[in-house]
Amino acid sequence: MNNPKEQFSQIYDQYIEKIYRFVYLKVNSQEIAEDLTSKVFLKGWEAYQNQGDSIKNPGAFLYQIARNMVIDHYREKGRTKTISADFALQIADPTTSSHDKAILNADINVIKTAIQGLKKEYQDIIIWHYLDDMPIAEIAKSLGKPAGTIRVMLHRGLKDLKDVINRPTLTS
Amino acid sequence: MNQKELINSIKQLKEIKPRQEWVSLVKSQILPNKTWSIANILPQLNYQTLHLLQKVKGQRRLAYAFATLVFIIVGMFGFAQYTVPGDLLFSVKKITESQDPFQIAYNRSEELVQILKENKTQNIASAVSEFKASISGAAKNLVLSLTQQDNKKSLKELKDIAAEVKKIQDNQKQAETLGIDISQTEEVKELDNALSSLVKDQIDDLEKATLTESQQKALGQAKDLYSQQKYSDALEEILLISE
Repeated sequence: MNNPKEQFSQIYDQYIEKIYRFVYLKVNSQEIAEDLTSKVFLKGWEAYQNQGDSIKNPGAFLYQIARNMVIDHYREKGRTKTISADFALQIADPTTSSHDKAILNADINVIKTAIQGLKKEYQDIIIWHYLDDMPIAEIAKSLGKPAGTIRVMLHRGLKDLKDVINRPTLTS
Repeated sequence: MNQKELINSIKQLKEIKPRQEWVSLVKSQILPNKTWSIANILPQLNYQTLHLLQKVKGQRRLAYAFATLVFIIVGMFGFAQYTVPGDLLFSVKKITESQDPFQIAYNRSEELVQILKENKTQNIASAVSEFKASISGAAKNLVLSLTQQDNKKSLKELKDIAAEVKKIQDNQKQAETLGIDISQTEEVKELDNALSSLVKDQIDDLEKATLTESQQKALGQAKDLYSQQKYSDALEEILLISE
């Protein structure tokens, strides 16, 4: 399979759900998630056409574009990169979001909302490791940090997540 | 909620999936499927593909040119078969016809008769000239066969010559009735002389051979025809003895 288009087509099929989910969990909007995810793959395809041989890990490459795209999105909108748990509860409350009601049950929505209340770096690590089944070593490589640091960050992320979930406003 | 329950809850987020129609739409926009529009195809082709395309296109153009050339040549050769001396493509006809000098001479005599019958006055001179040349060629070929052992005619060839000469003489008579007398030309006399020598040789050979009564009778008739300068008839009579 020497055709870059065919190669990227397979990459697209492999990563579209993961990148979408990654973006969706950060922006909490189907419309924005779709818009940003399509831009991620468009940019990825442009880069792949020009430097396909030098992209050794397409997944990490796409996640990096997605991270930057989310940052740019919040920068353009004048929003902070991290959303406070309280604010996240307001915008993602299952009782006020009809879209969320349709696609997610209450338990999932609690977790989703809680993740959005975490620090950005904890979000990334938790999503990659538990949702995308990315090994610690690969996350460490992607972020350029030691695996031990990633384990510590993952542990702290889970602890913060647990704290957010156990807050009375989220569980009530 | 303990850590295990928390992790299981996190994994439930895998249910978050994009809309399938959106996935397909974005893919088709980023990686459009090939269409048969040249405008869409060409920018995606690399140099080698373009080169191949041009090569195929060039070969196709060459093939068309070759086919046209073949068509023209075949048409020209086909048309040339209906030409007569004096026509533009008559030389093409001469290229394609038999190499047997007696067959050629017969063809020229036929054409001469045809021209006279159709009253193609502008072609007569050419036809007469062509006829004379062909008769001269036939005479030379016959003389050559008489003088050179290697070129000696076989019995079948002699039969064919006799038949052709008779047909040529018939056409000469027709031409004469149509107003052109070619029997007294140098070329016709040249052929008569060659035939005379051929018949004389054959008679001499037969006189030395042991013949049956009927063969001797046929030889006598051949001698009579020879003396009347009816060489082709004499030759036919001789060939009947030889068979």
